[in-house]
Amino acid sequence: MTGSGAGPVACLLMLVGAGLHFAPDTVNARIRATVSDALRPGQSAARQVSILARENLSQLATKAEAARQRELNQLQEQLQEEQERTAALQLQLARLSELQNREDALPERMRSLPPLVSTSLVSADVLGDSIAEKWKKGKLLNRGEASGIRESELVVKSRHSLVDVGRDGKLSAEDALLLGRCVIGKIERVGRWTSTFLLLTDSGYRGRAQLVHQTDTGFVFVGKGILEGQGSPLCRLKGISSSEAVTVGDTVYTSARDGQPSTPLYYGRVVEATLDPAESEWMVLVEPVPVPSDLTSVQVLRTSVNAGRLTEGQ
Amino acid sequence: MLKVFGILAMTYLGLVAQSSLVPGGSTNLGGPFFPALLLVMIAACCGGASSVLWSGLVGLLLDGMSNDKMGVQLILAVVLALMLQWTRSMWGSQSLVALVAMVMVVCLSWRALSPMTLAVLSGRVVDPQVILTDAIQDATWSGTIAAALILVGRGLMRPGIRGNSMNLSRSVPRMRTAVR
Repeated sequence: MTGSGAGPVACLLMLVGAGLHFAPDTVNARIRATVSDALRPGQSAARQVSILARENLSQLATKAEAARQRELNQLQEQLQEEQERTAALQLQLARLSELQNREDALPERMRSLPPLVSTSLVSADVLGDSIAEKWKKGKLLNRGEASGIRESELVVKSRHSLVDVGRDGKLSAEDALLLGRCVIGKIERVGRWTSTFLLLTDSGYRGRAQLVHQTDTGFVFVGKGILEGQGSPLCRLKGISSSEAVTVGDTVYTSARDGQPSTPLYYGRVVEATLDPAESEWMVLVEPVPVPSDLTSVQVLRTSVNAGRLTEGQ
Repeated sequence: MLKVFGILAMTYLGLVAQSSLVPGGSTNLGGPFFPALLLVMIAACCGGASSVLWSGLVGLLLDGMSNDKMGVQLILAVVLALMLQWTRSMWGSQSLVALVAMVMVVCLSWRALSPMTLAVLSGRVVDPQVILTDAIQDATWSGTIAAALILVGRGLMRPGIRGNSMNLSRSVPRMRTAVR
């Protein structure tokens, strides 16, 4: 017997479900933020337990295996650092030439103004995965509104400052902070103490992007487009006109827009570029930066208006 | 009161485990789906309207934990709770095999229907074969975890039950003497 009360309760709950489905996004976002915040203590505890368990398991391995694994990890880190250093140097070359061109075009009065937007990096721990279908998984972070996190802010992978660019001329403090950093996603929703971010490969990720192309005279910025996640290991770069030159191996960076930092961040590299004669755009597939399956911490790029620039204008 | 607290605690732990301990989408080996275990536990602990309510809560929390359209998990949880209630009323078995089978069927149904429903609602094309394969993997994991948990739970409860039955057998002869 299902019980006389089960039927009406079930109908009521289904109505509630249908109501939630058609409710405004703000209502759903509030519910999701509340649930994420409520689960945060348990997720933090579970994260600590899994880190301890992993450390204990690795200690059980024989010394030789542990040493080999440590060496392998170090080599992988060095390789990654070299790859990111190369990407940063390419970008630096392209930016220097673009900055020079842009400055020459500005009136004298505007050349010495500080940037409108200032940036900082907020460290966050990855608590786990959101329970969603594989094409739009998302990850949970232990930072939210209380830490100044806002929606659509970029999530970067690297913890270390990879490139020593302080000595190079004509680069801002922001460049020193951001050059070499790799974007792995963006903040999707923000709770009081937690937030979720979508990976580049998740369906639903969209971000402005631009190509850096190697020519005979050096690295230059070429076409701008939108990088989209497809729920698969490769992303699609849309909006690159057929008049642009795109080759496999070109690198893809973020493209600045109003209110965003001007230092481009690394997305990935082009692995496939085809142009159908009947189409007006390239079909470009991008391989993003690999994200380790045991990703435990990230940094969130927080932007804010530069107060110095506002007072300068008064 | 203790039962309410117990169900709340198990729901919290189940969802925390699902989001923090189960491997993410990068692996193709699948993983346990703890909400399915929760639904069967709720159906075993209580019946009727309260079972449907608790299952709805699990579905609602699952909606809150996901990036997909809300309401879908809630409705699926309620439908599966009704199915479990009907199954209990027809067979009512609490054997290990029956419970594990229920967990696997609930998991398989949930993990197959959820992505297909979300895909239809968002106009997305998905491969049913891939969804079914993933659902079978998750159901296998869930059944294994459920079997392990039930065996451990029953093993822990056994000394307590034996103790009670001994007290009962000691008291019976005295009662018979009194009747004579």
